[in-house]
Amino acid sequence: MRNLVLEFAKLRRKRVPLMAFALVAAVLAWLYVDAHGEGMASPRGWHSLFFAAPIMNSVFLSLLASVVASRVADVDHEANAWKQLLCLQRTEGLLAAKLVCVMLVMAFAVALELAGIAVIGRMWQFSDLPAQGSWVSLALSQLVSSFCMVSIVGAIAITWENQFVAIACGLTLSLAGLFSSFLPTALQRLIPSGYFTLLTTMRVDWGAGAGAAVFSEAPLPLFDYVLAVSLLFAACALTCAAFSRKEI
Amino acid sequence: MELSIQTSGLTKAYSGTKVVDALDLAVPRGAVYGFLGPNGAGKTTTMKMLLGLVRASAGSASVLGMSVTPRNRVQVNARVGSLIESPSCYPHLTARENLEVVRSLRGLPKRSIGEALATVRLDHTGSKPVGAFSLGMRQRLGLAAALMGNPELLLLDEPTNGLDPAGIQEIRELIRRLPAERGCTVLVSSHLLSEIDQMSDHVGIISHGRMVWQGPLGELHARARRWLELRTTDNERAARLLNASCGTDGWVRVPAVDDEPVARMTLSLAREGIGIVRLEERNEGLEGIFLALTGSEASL
Repeated sequence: MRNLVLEFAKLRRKRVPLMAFALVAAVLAWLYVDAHGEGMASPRGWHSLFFAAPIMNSVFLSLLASVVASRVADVDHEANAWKQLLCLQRTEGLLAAKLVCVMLVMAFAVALELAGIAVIGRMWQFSDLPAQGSWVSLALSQLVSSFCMVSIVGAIAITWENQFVAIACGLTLSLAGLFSSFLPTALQRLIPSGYFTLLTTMRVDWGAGAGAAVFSEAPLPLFDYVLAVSLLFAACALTCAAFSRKEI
Repeated sequence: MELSIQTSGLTKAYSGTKVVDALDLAVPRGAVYGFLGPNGAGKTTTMKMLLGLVRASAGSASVLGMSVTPRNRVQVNARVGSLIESPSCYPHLTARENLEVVRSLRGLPKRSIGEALATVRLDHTGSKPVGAFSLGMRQRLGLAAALMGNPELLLLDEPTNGLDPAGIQEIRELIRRLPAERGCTVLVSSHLLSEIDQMSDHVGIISHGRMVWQGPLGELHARARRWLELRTTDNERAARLLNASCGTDGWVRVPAVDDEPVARMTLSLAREGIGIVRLEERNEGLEGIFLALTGSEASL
């Protein structure tokens, strides 16, 4: 806990909450336009929001995860602080605190976005309010996907002092996330930002009804969850092992 | 003699090149131990091994009675303060916020920040971010962080880097006072002989990763060659008479400096009618000893 508080203290004046607000606002602005397209009291408005949010997140939350993970590592690179920190903190504790710190920021962003979606849906008085389980499923899928991104970009940000590498990787994954939903599922699974859409339960059939998209809810994609969580743990374990061997 | 640091055959090699070679370091408890060596001699690597930040290729190190390994470095360093290479400073935070990081990690009371800042005279910096500090101020902040929690051992790697002359003097005096005021042992590295001469009571000289001499500073001074230089009314005759050399600068150099030979020498010159105009005692100083020990290629 002390280590975690310290990570947030080190981020003071780094405008991390502002970045989270800005990127979530971008997603919500897009969703608002989407809701506008559905029209007032649409019978499929909520489903449309639940479908569109993960697609937007694969770009914007990927970007946020990359920027925050990079920033959390960069404060210590910039301060030349690893020597001091590793004299007083266990490597595992230090890295875990950094990871949890970024994860909490991402959880805050996801919570903010869900609140925004709720406001947009109510504003347009959509009539197809999904069950609580769907909200939980959406939140869980976006959190797990964000954490995957954090673990991968975080590993790069800690390993390379030059943050260009981490940010470039984050941007690439962010763009890849945008197009990943057009790829076959097997390929999509190879792209960390692809899990934003892979893990969701909302599906759409573009040709089912008279020219209109038909939304349906699929069961929780457990296999993809297992893959995403394995990716997350593998990235964390490898980072910790590599950093423990590193001589400062 | 109780030792705060003891290493035995401590070695560090990178790609087969030994940076530190079978180093046997013995730092007595309560001493200010000057770790002297030319640039690239292996001082910083040795200090990093003592902190457990760098793994030794061979040999062992014991700090405050505990064997140091990367695994137990946090336990050992709870009793050690350090300033290695450049200080760790978060440029976007104030001095107080920077020290808050160390305070929190060491589990110290809030007041320890104010005390540390006052010790290095940074208590006036207020809300100024460290990014706006001068190099000297950052160095002081690094020292303050190292001093927090009254560690039993301080490892300071060239602590006066970047300080102005007044700051250098101030830090030297602070380091000299530490064993008496706080009861701690200080291992301070430098490539500046005069600095070590003014601060330390024990010295270790390292060259090419090897310890070439260590012991009390007084013993090192006692090793210095001494001689007399005199100028007389007839230097050439005086040199012949004393079986000494006469330099082109006109000074006659006599190796003996003990009282009795000097008395005999002055009497014999007087008997030959040679007047002594000037008589001065010289010694080679630490620089001469250092160069003799490390080889003339050593750069200072």
